Amino acid sequence: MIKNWHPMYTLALVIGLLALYPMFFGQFMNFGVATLLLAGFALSWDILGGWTGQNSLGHAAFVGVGAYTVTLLAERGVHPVLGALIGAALSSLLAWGWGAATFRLRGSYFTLSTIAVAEIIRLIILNESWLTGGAEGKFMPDLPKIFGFDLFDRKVEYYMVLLFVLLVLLFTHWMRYSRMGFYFKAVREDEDGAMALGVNPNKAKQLAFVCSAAFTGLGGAMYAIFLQAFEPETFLLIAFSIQVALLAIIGGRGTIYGPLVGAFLIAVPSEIFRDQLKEANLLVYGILIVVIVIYLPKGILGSLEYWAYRKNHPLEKGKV
Amino acid sequence: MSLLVAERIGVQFGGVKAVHDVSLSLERGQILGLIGPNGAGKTTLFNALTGFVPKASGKVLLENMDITNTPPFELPKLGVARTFQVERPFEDLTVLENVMISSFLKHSQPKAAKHHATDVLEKVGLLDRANQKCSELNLARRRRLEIGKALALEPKVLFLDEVIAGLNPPAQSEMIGFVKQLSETGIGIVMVEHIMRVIMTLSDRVICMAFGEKIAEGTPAEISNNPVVIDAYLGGGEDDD
Amino acid sequence: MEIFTQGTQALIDGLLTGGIYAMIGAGLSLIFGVMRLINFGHGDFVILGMYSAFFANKVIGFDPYLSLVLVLPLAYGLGFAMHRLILSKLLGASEQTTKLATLGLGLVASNLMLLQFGAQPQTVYADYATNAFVVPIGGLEFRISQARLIAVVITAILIVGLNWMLYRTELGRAIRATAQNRMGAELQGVDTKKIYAIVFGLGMGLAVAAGVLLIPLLSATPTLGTTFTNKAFIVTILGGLGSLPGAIGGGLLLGVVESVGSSVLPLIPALNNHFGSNYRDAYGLIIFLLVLLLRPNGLFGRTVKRV
Repeated sequence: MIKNWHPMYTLALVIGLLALYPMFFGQFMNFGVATLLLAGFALSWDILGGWTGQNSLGHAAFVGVGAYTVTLLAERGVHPVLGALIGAALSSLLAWGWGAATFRLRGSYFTLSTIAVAEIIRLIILNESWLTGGAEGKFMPDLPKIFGFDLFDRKVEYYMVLLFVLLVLLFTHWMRYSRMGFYFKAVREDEDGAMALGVNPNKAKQLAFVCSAAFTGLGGAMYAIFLQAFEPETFLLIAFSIQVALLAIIGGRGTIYGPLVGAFLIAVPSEIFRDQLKEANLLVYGILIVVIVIYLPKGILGSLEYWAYRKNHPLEKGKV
Repeated sequence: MSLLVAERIGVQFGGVKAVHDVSLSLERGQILGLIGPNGAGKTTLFNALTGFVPKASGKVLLENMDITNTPPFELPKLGVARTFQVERPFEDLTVLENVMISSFLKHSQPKAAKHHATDVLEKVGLLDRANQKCSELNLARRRRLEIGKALALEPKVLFLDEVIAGLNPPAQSEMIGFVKQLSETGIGIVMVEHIMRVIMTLSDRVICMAFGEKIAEGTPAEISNNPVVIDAYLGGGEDDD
Repeated sequence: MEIFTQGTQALIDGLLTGGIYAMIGAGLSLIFGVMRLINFGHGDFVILGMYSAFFANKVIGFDPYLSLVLVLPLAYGLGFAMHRLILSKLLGASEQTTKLATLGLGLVASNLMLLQFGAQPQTVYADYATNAFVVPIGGLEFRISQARLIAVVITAILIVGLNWMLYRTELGRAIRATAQNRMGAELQGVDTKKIYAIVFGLGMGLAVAAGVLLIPLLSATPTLGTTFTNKAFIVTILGGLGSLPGAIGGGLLLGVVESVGSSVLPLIPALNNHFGSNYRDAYGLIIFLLVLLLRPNGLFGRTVKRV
């Protein structure tokens, strides 16, 4: 092990490697941007799901809020950067209210409530066509250039999304060593035990939810720019929420890079088998999650981290 | 002004009065022992005093401040800490990280919290296990961790729920000495314990409960000779391990 | 007056649809009641039933409702095997783990359907789907769809049969013993692992049966899987997780809420025809959320009754 390896070096390495992608795989930019976006969504989901242990299967709602906000505002002349930030803010607001109502539900009850709320939001977006265009969806209008960069250029989009991923990673890195992150993990492990140590579980879950939603909303706005045209079916179905959650879980929840690993590890075979699978790409997810849950419950990266820990702290004969 | 006063605490589960009309008071640096046969309501009383179980009646005052309806996660800030009878470490986190959660209460910066937690680990003798995950600790260490987490909250009042039972004799003596030291720093301690000799050695005052009620109160000597107490323990004679 | 007619018709339709919902929920409740396993893939198994009936109809020429005879035992076998081979490895695991595993299995099932049958809706036509009994009540005429009625009757038979099995047979006793106390049942000589596999098979059977009953009424699409899982959860939460009578009550309630909401709300002038069948699913979801937040143990009875 290299001594004095600062975690920031890992981050720099990862971002650096990802930044090289367009130079080597320039013909696969669609795949690159889409996968990186998924990774970003999975990383954002993990803030709530991996760190506080609250499984949301409704995150698609935030993607939708971000996407529709930036598009609707762009139609009215609002700059996309501002639009994206407002989208993120609205997502946070939604999460704040949503969380306040549902966080006293524990475990699967909470998950069920997320499914219900997300579905209701999808139905609203689908039906209130005077605002959202309903089932026909929306087209992204022409957007101004940012620092001379055309936002519809795939390579520009790639770096834009990379920036998004970097932001989430910086946040999770900070969380790792901060009081907030510790409190999140305590809530995940044992809510009552955490309360005895001064942690307010509902407040912690709320905070995680809001942060997770903000980032997801931001990514949603970028997704809208990438797609240029979308409808509710594109990302408001629960299948999308499931996809994001499973990516994080398969990759390793609660680890910093797990969701990123999950996204790339699964996206590549899904893409390779795209012709055979067509729309059934979730088949891969389904098989993988069953395998992971039985054999590698900590996820891929989580299991690796655990093995590394085991090597440094070998199990003594019987507990000592 | 007493450190902690509980007046006529009552706890009800459905139709059952788990705790009925129990009062106690605790001074700084004092050790109050709480004994009684199984099912007497000792842990329920603890849970009521620390906010984990709602009180049907009664008041709790911490240095004259009413904490009767304070939610459990706000009590540590006010100076109340507790251990759990069955330890509750955060399994996936390391020993150090566990204690850091407590340290963060009064030291919000990560470096300060880590520093503080390391000190506490040294005090409870777990420094050598700082980076080990809790799921792998043996009983004695889990106990010490449990106390360490409570201590790191820098409490004024400490509720200890059976921290000595189940340990082997040398570990027991160590723990007894440790608890004594704690009280000498001015912390008020309420401890539930089954082992008579421990209670008698450590406590300044003892309260005996049975069937949810307080049946006797006094010095260790008074309690051990009290026929009501002996009666309640009939057949129990918990002078073993 | 029109509200009354429409409302009553909606009530009838709702109760009939609710019967099928009850079947969907019953399987989920049964599995939870005995094994404390929340099957997040339940809805995907319902569409497995839909596609099975479709397949039986298109390829073998079976009438969909008759194909139940063939499909049910196969479904039971599949469920049994699924538990035996895969889920039994997770017997000690956390709720979260089993939740994910069943989610994964459901994903595999629905995606296999997608691969095999494509994304386009697949329909089965049966006479009784379009025919209806016309019932005159007090000068007004109400339609009772034949298919729905048959479906409810079959549902009733299956659920009564299930109940009989649980309370009048050795197997049923073993199941109830296992549900109450696994270790105790083991001590009594019950092979609880096998019981779990049997119960999962039964639950799968109920889900698939619901799908078969639905196919004349609804076209099969793979994405319906999650919709049905939602319905299953709504039914079981309304009725109390683990309670069979609760599932019936919950199913009927859901059916009525959706039906009345869709038919009656458009008739209320103040709402300006904004809410109708377009928000059909939302009505059930809102009631679901309310129950989750206010009475998580279900609307019927205060304690969760176990199987």
